[in-house]
Amino acid sequence: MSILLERASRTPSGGGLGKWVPHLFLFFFLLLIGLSILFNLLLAPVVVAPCTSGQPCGAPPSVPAVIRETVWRSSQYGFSLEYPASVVKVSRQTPSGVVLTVNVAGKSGAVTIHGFGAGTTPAEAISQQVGGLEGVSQLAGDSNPAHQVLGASVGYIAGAARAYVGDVTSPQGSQPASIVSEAAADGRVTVSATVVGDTSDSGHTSDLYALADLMINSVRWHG
Amino acid sequence: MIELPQSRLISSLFPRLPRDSHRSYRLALGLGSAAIVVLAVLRLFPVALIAAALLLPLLVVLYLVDVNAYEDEPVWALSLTMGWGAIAGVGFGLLALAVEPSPATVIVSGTSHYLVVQGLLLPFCGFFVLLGGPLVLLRYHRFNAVLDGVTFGASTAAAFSGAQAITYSAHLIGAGLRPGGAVLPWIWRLLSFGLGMPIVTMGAAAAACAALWLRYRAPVRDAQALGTLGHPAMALPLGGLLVAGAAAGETFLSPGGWLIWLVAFDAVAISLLARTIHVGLLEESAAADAGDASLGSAPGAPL
Repeated sequence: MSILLERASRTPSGGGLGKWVPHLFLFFFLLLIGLSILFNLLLAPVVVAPCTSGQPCGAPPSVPAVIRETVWRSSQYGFSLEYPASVVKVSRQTPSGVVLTVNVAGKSGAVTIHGFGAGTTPAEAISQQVGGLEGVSQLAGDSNPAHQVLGASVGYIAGAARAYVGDVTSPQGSQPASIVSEAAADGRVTVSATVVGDTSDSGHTSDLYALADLMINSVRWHG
Repeated sequence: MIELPQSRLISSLFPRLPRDSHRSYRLALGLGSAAIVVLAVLRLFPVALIAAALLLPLLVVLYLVDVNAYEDEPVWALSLTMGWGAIAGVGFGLLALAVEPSPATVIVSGTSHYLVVQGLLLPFCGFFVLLGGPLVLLRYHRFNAVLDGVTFGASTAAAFSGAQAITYSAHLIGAGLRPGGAVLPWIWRLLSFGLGMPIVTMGAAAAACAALWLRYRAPVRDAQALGTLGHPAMALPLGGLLVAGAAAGETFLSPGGWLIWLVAFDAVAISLLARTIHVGLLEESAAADAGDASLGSAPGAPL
């Protein structure tokens, strides 16, 4: 294919736009920004807080109850929890906690349950656990009223909760992820549970959250 | 990019631009970057992401119109460069979505899970696929100058990068105008997606195309001007490795760290490109009359 071609001599035609380039660029760039704002507004989900604290809210979870399921026990802090082994797998564990991978109805997520010493408050446990999450970037508190956790508890002991948003990023772009964390203490140990999933697989009506709720409620504080 | 000499960046990516137009393009690039940062500070992350993805493609379109790069064949030439880049970018964005690990997998396995497929394999393959459009133009004698190859490579890569970022992040765009998130990491990410990654892809693609044009379209005396690095057998894999290496940094670095990593790769890609442009300009000045020599401006002496 290597061919010596006669060189094409070109007349200079460059730079015709000259000093108008920044103006033209700004015009088109702002136009595109305006269009994308409009596009985002049209696609934006309607934010309605579905529940109020202390009031009955919605139908019960659609996932099967966790009854006589597989038990995981913390050898360091003595608390235990139950999970349905058919849809939940232990991915990583230490004497103080466990990372569970949930795969229910094609939706996946991770539930991290970790024990802390009595000196750690539930709020501190949440911060420590969420701060230690690998692979989630741009993490910040979720101010969306529809995403707030009402009546936070672990193993039926009232505690603290926080909702976060973050992104799971790759060299190709960003994908939003939802993170919700609850923690409670019984005076001897503080247990914190964090649920991470795709934003589209999360939310108060999702199977992921319903199953996580059941597992968090199944926590027995002393074996 | 602040760390890169902007004049070298502009003269390398837009080599047919007269020197007195550089300032306008630098200003446009600076204004665009500032707008992205402002949008991020206002927490309009999806809008900022679209703006970041479109920043360089828009500047490239202005350049192509400005210098009349496609002469009287704009439609099909534009289709084979920016059109092909956009289609390939959408395709690779969808491919990346199909193979992406779930958040649960990332929490369990860490970001190293991305390294092989999304960090190395997809960027490397994407680089070769995006070269498909300009390769078709290599057959046409109308576009027989090395600087044509540079222009085609850079414009295709800009469209590829923008389309891929928008496609992959489509879920974010549907999450509302202000979906929440930490501002500073977002700014680093946006500058990486809007400038850092596209610039290294544009530089590598332009250098690879320049090597092809130099080999198959330049006079024999110029074909060896760049030595081993200018041979397509070396320049194409090197370009792919540059892009893959730049992308791989995302999998193990913080957002700010990745941006710094990209700036280093940008500098290498632009230096590589500057060498080929230097040869391309010498080639054009040799071919043209003395009056035609003002066509472009050299990005600097070869390293």
